[in-house]
Amino acid sequence: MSKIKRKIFAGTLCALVLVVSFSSLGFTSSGEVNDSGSLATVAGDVQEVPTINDYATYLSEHEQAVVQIGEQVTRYPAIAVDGNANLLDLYQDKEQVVQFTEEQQFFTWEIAVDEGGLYNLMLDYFASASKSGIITISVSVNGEVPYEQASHISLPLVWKDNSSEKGTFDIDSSGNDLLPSPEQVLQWSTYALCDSEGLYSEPLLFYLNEGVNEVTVNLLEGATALSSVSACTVSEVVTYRQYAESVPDKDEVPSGYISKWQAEHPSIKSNDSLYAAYDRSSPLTEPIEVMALKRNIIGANWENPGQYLEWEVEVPADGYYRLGFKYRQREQDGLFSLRKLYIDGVLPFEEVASIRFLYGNDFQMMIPGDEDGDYLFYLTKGSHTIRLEVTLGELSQAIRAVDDALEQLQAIQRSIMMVTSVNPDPYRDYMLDQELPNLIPSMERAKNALILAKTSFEETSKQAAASMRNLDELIELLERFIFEPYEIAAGFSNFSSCITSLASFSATIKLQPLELDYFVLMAADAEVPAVKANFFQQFAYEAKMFLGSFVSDYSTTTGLGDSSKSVEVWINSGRDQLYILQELLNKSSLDVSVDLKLVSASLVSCVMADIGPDVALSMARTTVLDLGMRNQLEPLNDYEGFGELQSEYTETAFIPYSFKDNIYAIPETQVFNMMFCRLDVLEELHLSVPKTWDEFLSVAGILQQNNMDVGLSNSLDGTGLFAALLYQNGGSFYNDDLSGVAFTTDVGYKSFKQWTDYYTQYSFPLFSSGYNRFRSGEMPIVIMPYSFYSQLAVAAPEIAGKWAMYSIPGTTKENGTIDCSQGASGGGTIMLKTAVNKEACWEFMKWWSSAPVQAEFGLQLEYVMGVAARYTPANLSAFDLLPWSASEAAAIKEQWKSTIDLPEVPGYYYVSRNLNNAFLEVTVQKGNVREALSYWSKATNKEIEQKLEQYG
Amino acid sequence: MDDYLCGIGDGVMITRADLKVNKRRSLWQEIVANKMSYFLLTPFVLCFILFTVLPVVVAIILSFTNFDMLGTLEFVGIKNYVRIILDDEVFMISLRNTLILALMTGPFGYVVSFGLAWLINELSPVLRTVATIAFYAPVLSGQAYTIWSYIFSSDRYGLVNGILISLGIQDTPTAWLADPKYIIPVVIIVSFWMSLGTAFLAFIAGLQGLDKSLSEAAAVDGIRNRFQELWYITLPQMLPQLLFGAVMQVISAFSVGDVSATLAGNPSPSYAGHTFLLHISDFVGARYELGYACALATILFLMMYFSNKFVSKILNSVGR
Repeated sequence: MSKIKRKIFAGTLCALVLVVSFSSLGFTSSGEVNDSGSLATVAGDVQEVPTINDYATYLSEHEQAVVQIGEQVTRYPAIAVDGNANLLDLYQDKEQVVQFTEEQQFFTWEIAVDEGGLYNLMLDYFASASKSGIITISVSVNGEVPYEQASHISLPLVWKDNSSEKGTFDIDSSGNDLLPSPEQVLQWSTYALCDSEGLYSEPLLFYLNEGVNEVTVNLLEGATALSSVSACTVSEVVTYRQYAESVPDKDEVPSGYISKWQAEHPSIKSNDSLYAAYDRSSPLTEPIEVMALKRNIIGANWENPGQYLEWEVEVPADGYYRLGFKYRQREQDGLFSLRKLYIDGVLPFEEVASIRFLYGNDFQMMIPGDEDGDYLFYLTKGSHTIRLEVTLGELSQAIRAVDDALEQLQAIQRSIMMVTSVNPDPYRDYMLDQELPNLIPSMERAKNALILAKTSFEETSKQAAASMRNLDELIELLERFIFEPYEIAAGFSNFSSCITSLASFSATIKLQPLELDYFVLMAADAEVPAVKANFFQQFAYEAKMFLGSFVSDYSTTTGLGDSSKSVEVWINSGRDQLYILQELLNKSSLDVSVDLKLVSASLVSCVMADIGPDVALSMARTTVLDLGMRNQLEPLNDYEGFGELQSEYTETAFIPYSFKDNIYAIPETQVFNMMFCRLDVLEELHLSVPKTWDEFLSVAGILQQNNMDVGLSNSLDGTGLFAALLYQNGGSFYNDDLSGVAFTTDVGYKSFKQWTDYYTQYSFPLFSSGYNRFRSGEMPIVIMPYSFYSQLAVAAPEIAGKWAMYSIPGTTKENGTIDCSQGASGGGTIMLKTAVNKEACWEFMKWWSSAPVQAEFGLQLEYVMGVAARYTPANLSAFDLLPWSASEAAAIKEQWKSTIDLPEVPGYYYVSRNLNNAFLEVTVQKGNVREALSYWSKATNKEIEQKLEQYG
Repeated sequence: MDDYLCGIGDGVMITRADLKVNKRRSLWQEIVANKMSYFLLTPFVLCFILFTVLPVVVAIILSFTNFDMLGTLEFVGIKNYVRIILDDEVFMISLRNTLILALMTGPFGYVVSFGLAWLINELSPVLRTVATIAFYAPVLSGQAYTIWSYIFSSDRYGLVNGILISLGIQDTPTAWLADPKYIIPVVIIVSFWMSLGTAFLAFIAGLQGLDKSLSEAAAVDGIRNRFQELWYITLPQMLPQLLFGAVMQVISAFSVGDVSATLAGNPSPSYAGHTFLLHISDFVGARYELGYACALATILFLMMYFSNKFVSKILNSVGR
C-alpha cells in the first residue's frame, strides 16, 4: 500500500516538475519542489500566522517599560529633520509645516524625551481636500515600523453638512427634505495616533529611548500637512466618583429644565457618509409630516470604530445636567452598540468611555448612569460640544481573539484543502497529521485562541451567548480533529462552513450601528420625554399615513424652473438615484425645468402607447438599438457640443449606440472584466500573477494540482471571454459591414476552440458562484466585471488586503507586447424623437453627462448606499474623481485602455443566444467545435439578415 | 328535450319552429322581459368582451400583419402562417416540446390527480385537510418551482448533484439545466408537480358533494366492487368537476412556459426546453414581431379549443 502511494507521489512529483520546467514562467517554487520529498511540501504545510509584528506582542515585549502616565499630558515636541516631503516656512497660518502632496512621500522628525518608555504620538495635521476622503500614513520609530498597526493609520477628516448652521434642510417642490451636501472642513486638528481598525480603543503606544529618537511619517494615501509631531505622556482618566468630587459644587440649573437637540443636525462629523435619513415608523419621531419626507434621524453607516458625530449645545446656567439619547439599535440582534462620549473634546470620566445602547425594535431612551442613578455632567453656561464616537470598547479584546483564531483557521483550512480537495472522500484516510506535520499543533493554537475569545466574550456580555454557539461548535470540532485526525476528511465541509460563519460573525460584531432621533439635556429632576407612541397616537398616525398614500407620489419630482423649457426624464433604477439626481439639479445652474419619474416599465411598450418620456437614463444598449432602428430616437451627433463630449469617452464608447451613421445615446456606465487574485494563496504557492493566457494556464494547472480552481466569467455577449480572445487573436465579432457575425473565420475557429478548450481540456468549472469560492480561497483567481470589487470590499472583510485586481490575461503579439483587449457593457442616455423641447433636452443631457455631475452623482450614491453602490461611469474624467485608491485606479485604467466596445446589430438577441448554444454543444454535449460554431453562426446570420432587410 | 327550449321568464313552452318564425321579435321581447337579468349580467359581459373577446379578435386580425409594435403595420396575408410552418425550425421544436409536456402533464396528471383525490377522500377530515393543502401548495405559492432550480442546480453544490456525488454515482456535476438531454425530463417532473393542484381541488370538492344515497342504492342493486361504483355512480355525478378539471388541465398543459424559462432560461440551450408559449414571448419580448407572435398565438388558441372539444367528447362517455 505504502509502496503504491509512494509511486503515486513520485509520479505526481515528476509531472509537476515537468510542468514547471517546461512552462515559460520559471516559477520560483521549482527549486523547492525538487528538494522536497513529499507531496506535502508541494501543497504547502500549514503556514504559521506571523504574530511577531502585532501590537499585542510589541506591548508584551516592552512590558517592563514604564507607561508614562500623568494627570497632565506632557508634550515633547519634535524637530523636523529631513525627508522628501516639502518643508514650508508658512502654510495655512502655521510656521515650519511639512506638506505631503503625493503618495510615498516621507519626512523624519527628532524627538527628545527625558525618560525611556512608552508614549503616545500626537500629530497636528491639516486635512487637505482629497477625493478618496482618506488620509493614511505609516509611522516608523528609529528606522523601523514597530508593529503592523502602525503601518496604516488613518487620520480622521472633519466634515459638516451645508445645513449645519441653519439647522433645517432645504426642501424640494413637494416639501420633502433634500439630502444636505457634505463639505470637508479644512482646518488644523490634533490627533493621538490610534489603531484605525478600532481593535485597540486607547491611542497606540510607542517605545521611545531616553534621549533623541527619530520618528518618520510616510504618506500612503491622500494628502496632508503636518505642523508638529510630539510624544505625549498618557493622560489619566478619572472615575465618575473622582469626577463628581472634582467639579465645583454649584448648581443653578432651573428645576425641570429640559432641552431637545435634533441629532440629524450635527455640527461636525467624521465621514461624509453619515447622513440624515428619515424614519416614518412612529409619530413621535421628530420632526414628522404625513405628506412629506422629513429627514429626522441620523445614523445610517454610523457603525465603524472611530466614526463620530458632534453637536453644539447651548446651556442656560452652570450646574449639573443629565444626558438622554433617543436611539434605535435594531441590527445587532441581542447585542449592544458602544459609543464613547466626549464633552468639549474630553472624555469626562471612564464610565462613559463605552456606553451600551441595547438592542430593540423601536426607539428607546438611553440615559447614561449606573445603579446609583443617572450620571450628572457639570456644564458651565454657554456653548459646549457633545460628541459620540463609535468604539469597540470592552469587546475589542474578544474581537482580536476571534480575528486571530480566524486567520489561523483559514490557513489550516487551505492547507487541508490542498491535500484533500474541497470535497474530501470521507472513506479515505488522508493521513493528514503526517502529510502536514504542522497541522495538529496549529489546530491546538487555533483552539486556544477560540477558547480565549469565548471567555472574553463571556466576561463582557451575557447577551453575546447566542453568537457563542458558533465558537463552541468550532472548538468541539477542533478537539475531535486533534484527537482523531482521520475524522478531518469527514468533518471538513462542516469545518469550512463553521469558518465561514465565524468570518461573518467577526465582520458583523465589529459593526456598531446606531440611529439617533434626538438627545436631551435636562436637570436632575426633569421628566424624561416619552419615546414610544401609545396605541391611539400610533393608530391616528397610521390612518393619516394610509390616507396620505393616495395623494403623495414619491416616485416623481417636478422641476422648479421655467416650465416652457420643461423636460420629462425617466429613471429606471431606484428612488435613491432619483433623489440624488433631483438634488444635483437643484444645486445646478441648469436653465431647464426637469421632471423626474421613476419608471421601471419597458420603454418600448411605453413608446408604443405614446406615453414615453423626453429623455431616458441608463438605457440598455439593446433597447437603444431597438428604438433607434425603428426611428424613435433623436440622433445626437449633430447637436452643438457633441464633439467635445465625445472626447471625454473612450474611442469606441459610442459604437454600441450607433446605427447607420447616427448616434442615439451618450454612454453613462461602462463595465468590463478584471482579474481578481488572492495574493495570499498565490504567495503561499510561490506563484506570480499571470499576465498572458499561457501564464494563466500554468498557474491554473498548479492551482488545480492543489485542489483549487480558477473562475472565468460566464457572460456571452461582448463582455465575455470569447470576445476577448477573438480580439486578442486579431479577429472581430462582426463583419466589416455589420451584416453578420464573423465567427467562421480561421481566427474565429481558433478563438472558439481556445475558449471551449478551457472547459473541455483544462476542466475549468463551467458553472460557479465565484464570490463564495474566491472568499474561501477555493478559487484564488476569478475573472469578473470590475463591479465585483464593491461586493468584495463590502461583504468579504475577512480577506481585505489579501486580494487585488489586475488586467485580464492577454495574448502576446508578434512585437512582444501583451494585448489585453476585451469588450464592455453598460447603458446610455437617450432622447426620444417625440421630445418637445429638444434643445432643453440636449442641455440636460450635456449637463448630466459632464464629468463633474457624473462624479458627484457617483459620490453621493456611494455615501447614501455605501461602497457596494460604487458607480461605474463611462466618462473617463468622472472616473478619476471617484474614490478609488491610486493603485486600483491605475489597474482599472490600464485595462480600460484596451477595452473595445462592440457594435450592436439588429437581431442582436440571436448572437449571444446562439453563441451559448454552440458553446454548450461543445462543452456539455461534447460536440464538434467547427460544426457547432458554423451551424449556429449560420442561424445567427440568417436572423440578422432578416432584420436588416426590414430595417437596414 | 331537444325539441323544446325553455323561455326564461314567460313560463310558456315554445317549439323550435315557433322560434324560427318570430326569431328577431322574440329575442328582443325576451331581452325586454328579462331586462333585470341582462342588467345584472352587463358588468361581466362588458369585461369579458373588453378583456377576453376583443384581444382574441385583435390578435387574430394582427396575425395577418407585420406589426412590430413601433413602426409599420401592413397586411401581409397568410405570410406569417406560411413562415411558421415552412421556415421556422424553432417552432417545430417548441411544438414538439409542448405536445410532449401536454401529454405528460395533461392526461397523465389528470388521472393521477383524480386518483389522489379519490384516495385522500377516504382519509379522516383532519388528514384530508393536511393532504389537500400539501398537494395544493405548489399552485398557491405560484412561483414555488424556483426551488427546483436549486435542486437541479448545475453546480456541484446543487442538491441532486450533491447527493449523486456523495453517493459516488457521479464524480463531476451534471449540468441538469444546460444539457439538452435533461432539460425536458426535468421540466416534465416540475410541471407535473405543479399541475396536480387545480384539478385535484375540483375533484376533492366533487367527491365531497356526492349523494351517498346513490351509492347505497347501488350497493343494494348489486354493484360488485369499488371500481364499478366509481365508473357507474361516482364519476357520472362528478361530470361538472371533471369537465372543469379537464379544461384547466388542457389549458395549463399547453401553456407550460414559466417553469422551463425559470429553470433552463429563455431561450434554453439549443431550444431544448422551448415551448409554444416561450416561442411567442420570444417574438414579443426580444424581437418585437407582434404580427408573427399573434399568428402563433392564434394557432395555440385553436389547438386549445379543439383539445377541449375532444376532451369533453371523451368525458361525455363516462359511465356509459
